[in-house]
Amino acid sequence: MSASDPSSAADATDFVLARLNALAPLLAPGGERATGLRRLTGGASLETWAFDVRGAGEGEGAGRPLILRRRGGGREAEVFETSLPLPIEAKLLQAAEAAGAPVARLVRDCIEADGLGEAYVVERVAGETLGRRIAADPAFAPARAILGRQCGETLARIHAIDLSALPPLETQDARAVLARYADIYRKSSGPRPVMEAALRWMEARLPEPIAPRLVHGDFRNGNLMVDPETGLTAVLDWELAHLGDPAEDLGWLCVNSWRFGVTHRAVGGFTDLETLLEAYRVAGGEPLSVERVRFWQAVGTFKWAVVTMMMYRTFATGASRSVERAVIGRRLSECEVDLLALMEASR
Amino acid sequence: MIEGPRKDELLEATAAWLNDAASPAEGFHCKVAANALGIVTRELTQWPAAEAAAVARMQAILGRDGDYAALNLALAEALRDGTVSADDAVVFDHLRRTALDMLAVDQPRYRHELAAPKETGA
Repeated sequence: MSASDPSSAADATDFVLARLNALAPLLAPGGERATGLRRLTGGASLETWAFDVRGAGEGEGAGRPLILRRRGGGREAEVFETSLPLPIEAKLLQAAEAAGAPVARLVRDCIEADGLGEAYVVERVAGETLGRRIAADPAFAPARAILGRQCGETLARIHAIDLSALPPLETQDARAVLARYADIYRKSSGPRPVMEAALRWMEARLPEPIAPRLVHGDFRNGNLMVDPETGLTAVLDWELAHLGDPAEDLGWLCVNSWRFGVTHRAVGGFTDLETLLEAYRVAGGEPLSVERVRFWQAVGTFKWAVVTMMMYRTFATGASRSVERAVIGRRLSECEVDLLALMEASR
Repeated sequence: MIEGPRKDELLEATAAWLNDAASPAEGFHCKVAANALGIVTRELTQWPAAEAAAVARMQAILGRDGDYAALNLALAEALRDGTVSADDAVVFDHLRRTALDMLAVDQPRYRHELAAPKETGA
């Protein structure tokens, strides 16, 4: 975080633009200036900017499309305080690319002299991330026909990455993850019957320990860049990556909240679990049982329930007074229904 | 149990947003505000009956009297310490009905895989 960070939005744009202009020669061959700079979605703390680098005299359409991710000076009530530092994320992007997983290619892992604070620049990949469109828009039917297989192959490649080549990451096994979210739940909410029943259900089904792998940690419809015709073009949002059970990534991808209303397609609203598991196995992933994935789907649903509680807490404590933040607290009921559905299916 | 945001909090936040001249007048924020008011409306019209039914079910399960909050707390603790189990069909039926009633208030259009309760009830 830079002490010189500006406070207003217009000043922030000027601040970032000036530094990207200075950096332009390092971001593209013959690059002289940054144009079209705009802030994309993101929290007050972690900023995402889109821009193009152009050479002297280049008009519209000739630039190199890029994305800047940086830790800004803004403060907000963070839901996850476990987000990885951006330089670690940059190393993971490189490792994933080397392993053949589709990611936005790293262009610059920023150093202090760049003046942007904790930041990196990646290529801007074309495609759609809106989960609802990917799951339901007729234009994405060709993508949906191949996306499940692509996700299985990509996860197998991520999970095959040699851990000794990675920066140090926290290991989170099933028991630890469960204990952690149970603890946050008890601190965020009064006792709830469905949450207690779900905890008992999960504790009784803790899977056998498995060799830890690189787990993306947020691999779901909404964090996947998808082309309507060619399917998966990039896996985004690596800030929750850690070491753990590879089935965690497959289970999270199956959480009903990320199916965007296409509930009968268990994987992200675009394919079935058998297709995902088969593609994962064919691409070299170790065979994972449906039960192991279902366990992690329940953990993921429980985790999302806890996040809705924490979102509501940031409203209730006055850290955020937005209606949007408040209403997310009512999404707890979808998680409880989904947890009961998982429990019922196993009876 | 509807824990939060409570309906008074939803009304207060929505009213504050409507009164704030600086509020973005975009479709997204208007939809969020309308959604908040929809939740409050459904809670006022649907939840009292759902809560009364839940109280009756919990009294039968726990064999004691009490209001919704007290019984719900007791049920949660009993599920935690194992004196009551969700494997018990009567208990699961209660959890199912309560969760679906709550979802009908909070997100009536949410699609899920939990089967509807049997007509006769527990």
